[in-house]
This record gives sequence, structure tokens and C-alpha cells, in this order.
Amino acid sequence: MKIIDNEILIIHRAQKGDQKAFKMLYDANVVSLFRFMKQFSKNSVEVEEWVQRSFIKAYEHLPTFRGDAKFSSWLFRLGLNEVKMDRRRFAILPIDNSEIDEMSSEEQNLDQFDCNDMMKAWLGELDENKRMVFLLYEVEGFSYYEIAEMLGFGESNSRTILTRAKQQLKEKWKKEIKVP
Amino acid sequence: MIESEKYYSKEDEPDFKTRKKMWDKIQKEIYSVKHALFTIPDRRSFLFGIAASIIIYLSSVGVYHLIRDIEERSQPMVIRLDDAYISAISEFERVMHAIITAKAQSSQSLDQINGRKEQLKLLDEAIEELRGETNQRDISPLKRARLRNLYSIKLQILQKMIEQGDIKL
Repeated sequence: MKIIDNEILIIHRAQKGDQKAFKMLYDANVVSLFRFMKQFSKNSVEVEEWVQRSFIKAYEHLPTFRGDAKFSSWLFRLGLNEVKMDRRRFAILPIDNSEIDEMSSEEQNLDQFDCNDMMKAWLGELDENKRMVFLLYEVEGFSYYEIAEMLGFGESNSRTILTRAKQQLKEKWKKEIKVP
Repeated sequence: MIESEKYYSKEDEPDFKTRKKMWDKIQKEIYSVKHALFTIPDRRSFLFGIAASIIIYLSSVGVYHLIRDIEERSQPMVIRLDDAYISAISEFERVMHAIITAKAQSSQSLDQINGRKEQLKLLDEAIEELRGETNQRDISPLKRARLRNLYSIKLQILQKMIEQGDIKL
């Protein structure tokens, strides 16, 4: 996503109904939101619909945006809500907290995990929950706190989901290159 | 951390045409939102405001009447009767005073009227003095009877003035 120097001022102008300012926010964020959402649907029309709805919601609710989060993080949250609404069967399963401690020891080893060409295809095989957290953290660079805010579950659960996603990817990678 | 530019391919990104198409639709939608007289949250808060005002007004009126009613009911019957009597006399005095003043301006027997007025003045002083004593909710039957007696004398004087033609109603 593009970084706008005076984002706060632009948001302030947009909050007052300045459409040019809102267009600047659109230009700065549309590509990152679109390509992120593209990871959840092969249908471009559906992705366009999600993006449009996210920006319309952002405009409608802009007066309530207090600026304590990044605009992009807030926009991604709106976008994810649109995806969730469309996926009636999509539900974020509650994570058993007892697993968190068990997973955290493995987390450090998995942090060294690297991306290769195959990963994108393997990522597509993960469930949407894991894919979302992985992309938001590893690719979009959001913090666990921001991801928790976007997806509506705790920070520790975000960590756990990411660890599971990495673990699954690593298993696939080991299998692929036939590591004993 | 994976660099987003490496992870996403060109196919993942919207081209200029797609970006423009999406913006046109967004703009069309937000233009209608901006130009709506009342947006949904505005309309809702407006209606809530109206409803709250009505409720507050009705509650205030209800509370006022309730307090007044309780206050009236809490008074002894003697005081309530006395208040009604004083209120009626005061009203009568107010009306009579205006008539006497008007009559005095065109009176042919000013001395007689002045004498009556002197009597009324003395009576008023006595009444005021006695009322001052009974203001503290003194329900002494003797004082109440005396007060009513003074009112009665005053009414008799006024009646005489009317009968003798000093006051024409």
C-alpha cells in the first residue's frame, strides 16, 4: 500500500465530505486491498464488489473513524467483514487456548520459514482463516493486534492461527522437497 | 516477513480500467449518500431526539401535577378551605378596586366614598396583620374565625356601596 505523508489531514478533509480527499485515500489503498482480497476468490467481479462495498462503508462510517488505527487497517477490517458476510458458511472457529502454549515453542523455529514459488499454491489450500492471518501478517505487515482487531479474535489466537498455517506450509514444503 | 511486491503477481492487481470502474461506482454511491437529506444515523438520532423531548415534557408535566396534588392533599381541610376563601376574596378585591377607582374619577359624593375607602383600608390592615400571623400555617380556629369575620365585614361594606349606588356594576 502507498504511504500518504499527511494521511491524518486527508482523512480529516474526507470526514468533512471532501471527495477529492477520499479519492486520494482510495488511490493509496485500492491496489493493496484488491490484491489481498483476490486471494479469497478467483472471481474478479466478486473481488471488485467487495472492494467497492468496503470503500462505500468506509465513506459512510468515516465520521466515526477516530484515527487510533491506521486507515489501511480499518479499511481491511471493513473488507474482511464484506467477505465474511458473503460467505455464509464461513465461520471463524474458536481456538482452544490450551493449544497456545504448546504451539508457542514451535513458533520460533517456524519464524525462519521462507517463501518460494510453490507457497502461493499451498496457501490456496489452507482454510480461509489461516490464509487471512498469514497474508495479513507475513505479506501485508499488520501486527497481531491489528489482525485481532480486523478478524475479531484475540492477539494470542492470531499467533496460534499463524503458527498453524506456517506449520502446514512447512509440512507441504518438506513433502515436496522430500526432506526425511 | 515476505515482501508484498514479490508475493503478489501483476494478475492480482487491478488494472487502470478496473480501478476507474470501481471508483465510478463508489462515487455514484457516495454521491447519493452525501446528498440525502437525512442519512440513516441522522434520521435515527433525530427521531430519538423528538421522542426523548416528548417523554421529558410529559414526565415533567406529570411530576409537577403529582407534586402539586400531593402538596394540596397533605394540607388540613381547614387550611384548604381558608386558602380557597382567601383566593376568592382576593379576586373579588382586585375587581372591586378597579371599579372603585374608576367611579372615584367621576364621583359626585367623594366624601362618602372616601369614608368607605378609609374603612376598607383599616379592614385591610387588620386582615394583613392577622394573615401575617396565620402565614405559618397556624390553624388556630379562633384566628381563622376572626379572619373570616373581617372578610365578612369587608364584603358587607362593599355590598352597601353597591346598594347605595356608589359602585355601579
